[in-house]
Amino acid sequence: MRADRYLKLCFGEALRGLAGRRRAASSAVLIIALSLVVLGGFLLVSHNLNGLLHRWRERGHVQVFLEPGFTVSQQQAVADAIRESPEIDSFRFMSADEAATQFRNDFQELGDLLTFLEENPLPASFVITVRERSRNEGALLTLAENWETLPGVDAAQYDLEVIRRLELGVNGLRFVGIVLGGVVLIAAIITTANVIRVLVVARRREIIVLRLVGATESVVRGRFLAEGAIQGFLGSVFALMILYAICRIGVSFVTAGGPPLLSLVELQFFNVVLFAQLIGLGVAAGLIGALLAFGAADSLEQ
Amino acid sequence: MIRCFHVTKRYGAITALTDISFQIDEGEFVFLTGQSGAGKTTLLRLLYRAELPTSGQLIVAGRNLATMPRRQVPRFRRRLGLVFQDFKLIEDRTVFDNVALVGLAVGFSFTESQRRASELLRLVDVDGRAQLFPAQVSGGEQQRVSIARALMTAPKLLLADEPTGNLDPERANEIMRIFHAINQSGTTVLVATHDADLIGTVGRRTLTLEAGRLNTLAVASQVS
Repeated sequence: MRADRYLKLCFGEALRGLAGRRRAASSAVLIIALSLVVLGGFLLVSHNLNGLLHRWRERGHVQVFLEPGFTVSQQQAVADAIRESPEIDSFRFMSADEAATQFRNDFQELGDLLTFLEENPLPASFVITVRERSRNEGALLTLAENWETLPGVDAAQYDLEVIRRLELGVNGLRFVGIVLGGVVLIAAIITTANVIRVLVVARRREIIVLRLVGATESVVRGRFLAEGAIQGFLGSVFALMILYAICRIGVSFVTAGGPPLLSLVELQFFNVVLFAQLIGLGVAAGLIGALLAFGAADSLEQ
Repeated sequence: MIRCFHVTKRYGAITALTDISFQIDEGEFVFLTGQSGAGKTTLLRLLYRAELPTSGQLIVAGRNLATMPRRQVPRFRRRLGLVFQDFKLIEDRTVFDNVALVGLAVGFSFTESQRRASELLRLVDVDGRAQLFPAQVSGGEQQRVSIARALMTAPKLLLADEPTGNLDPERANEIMRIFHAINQSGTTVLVATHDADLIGTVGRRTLTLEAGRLNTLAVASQVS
C-alpha cells in the first residue's frame, strides 16, 4: 500500500476513533500533559538557570577585595596593576558603602541586617571585566593569583568558581526533574495503553473483519498507533501551553517588582530544540502506550 | 481452485475432521452440507487459513496453506470473499462504509474504494440503503451488504458459512440467486449449509460431512 494512503487511512481512522471517545482519550492526554509539565517544568527552570550561568560566565568578572584598613596608596597601586594588565577590558572601584547599598538592593529582605551590625562587613573592591579572549578558567585563575599577591589585597575571586558550583546544583535539579518526570511519564504510558486496549476490545469486530478481508497487520494496528501518537502530541501541546503560561506569569512577576536578583534570570521559554524534544517525548509516550496495548489485539481472530 | 488431500483437524482429544480429500475446480458452485457439528465451519476455517490442519495438504487458489508463512495470509485472503451467518458488519459504520473500508484497507485509493463500493451495492440492490447503519436494515439486506463487501477485492473464490441461516426462505432464495450470478461471472463458490431444501432447490454438487468425515457416496468427484 502506498505510504500516503496508509497514513491517510491510519490517521483518518484514529481521528474518527478519538472523536467518538473524547472522554476516555482526554484522560490519556491529560496524564501525558501532566507528566510533561513536571518534566518540562524542571527542564525550563534548569534551562533558564543555565542561561543565567552562561551569561554570568560570559561577563568574565573578577572581583579583587581589599583588606580592611587599606591605604590610599595601596588602593592606587592595585588600580595601577589592574590598569596595566592587557587582559582587562574595564574596571571600577566599589567602596564599602557602595557594596552595602548594592547588597540592600539585591537582597531587599536581608538589607536591614546591615543596620543591626556595628560595622559594615562588606569590603571595598575592584570589579574588573576581563577581555573576551581571556574569559576562561586558566586565564582568570592566573589573573586572580597575580592580584592576590599585591599589598592590600585580601582576596581575588572570579565568577567561574561560583558558577561551577551552581552548575552542579542546576544539573542536580535537572536530574531530579528527569527522574520525577520519567516516573509520571511511565504512568502516562500505562494510562495510554489502557485507553487504547479498551479501544481495541471495543473495535474487536472491526479488527476481525479487517483481518478476514486481507488487511495486513500494519493496517490493523496502524490506526491504534496513530491514535496513541495523536494523544501524545495533544498532551505535549497542552503541556507546552501550561508551561508557557507559567513562564509568562513568572516574567510578569519579575517585571512587576519582584526580587531584583530574579531580573538577572531573564526568563525564557524553550528554544526550538527543547520544544521539539518535548513534543517528541509526548508522541513517543503515546506510541509506546499503543504498542503495549496490542496484546489485546493479538488474541483476536487471526 | 481447491484441492484437499487427507486433511485431518484435531483439537486436543477431539477430532473435528478426519482424512478429508476432495477437489473443487475453478468456476464450480459447490455446497458443503452436514448436520450441526459435522465440521463444515472447521473445514471453511481451514480453507481461509484461520487455522492449520493437523495433517494433510490444502491447496487453495494455487497456495499451499500448510506451508504459507503467516505474513502472506492477508494477501492470500484478498483472493477470497467470505460471507458469514452473522454477517459480521461493523455496527457503527454505514452500509456504504462497511463496504468501502475493505477497499481502503487493502490499498485502493479513496476514489476507487468509493466507486467499487457504489457499484457493488448497486449489484446486490442495496444502494438505496447505503447511508443507513446495519441495525437499520433487514437481515436479508445485511447479508447482501456482506456479499458486496466480500466482492470488493474481486475474489476468485467465495466461501459462505451458513449465509442464509438467519434468513427466511424468501430472503434465502434471494441470496442464492446472488451467489448464482456471482458464480456465472466466473467466481468459484462454496456454500456451507445444513438447509436441505435450499440445496434441493438450487441443485448443485454437494459435499456431505458426517461426524468429520466426507460421505463418499454423496461426492461427485474426489482426488484419487
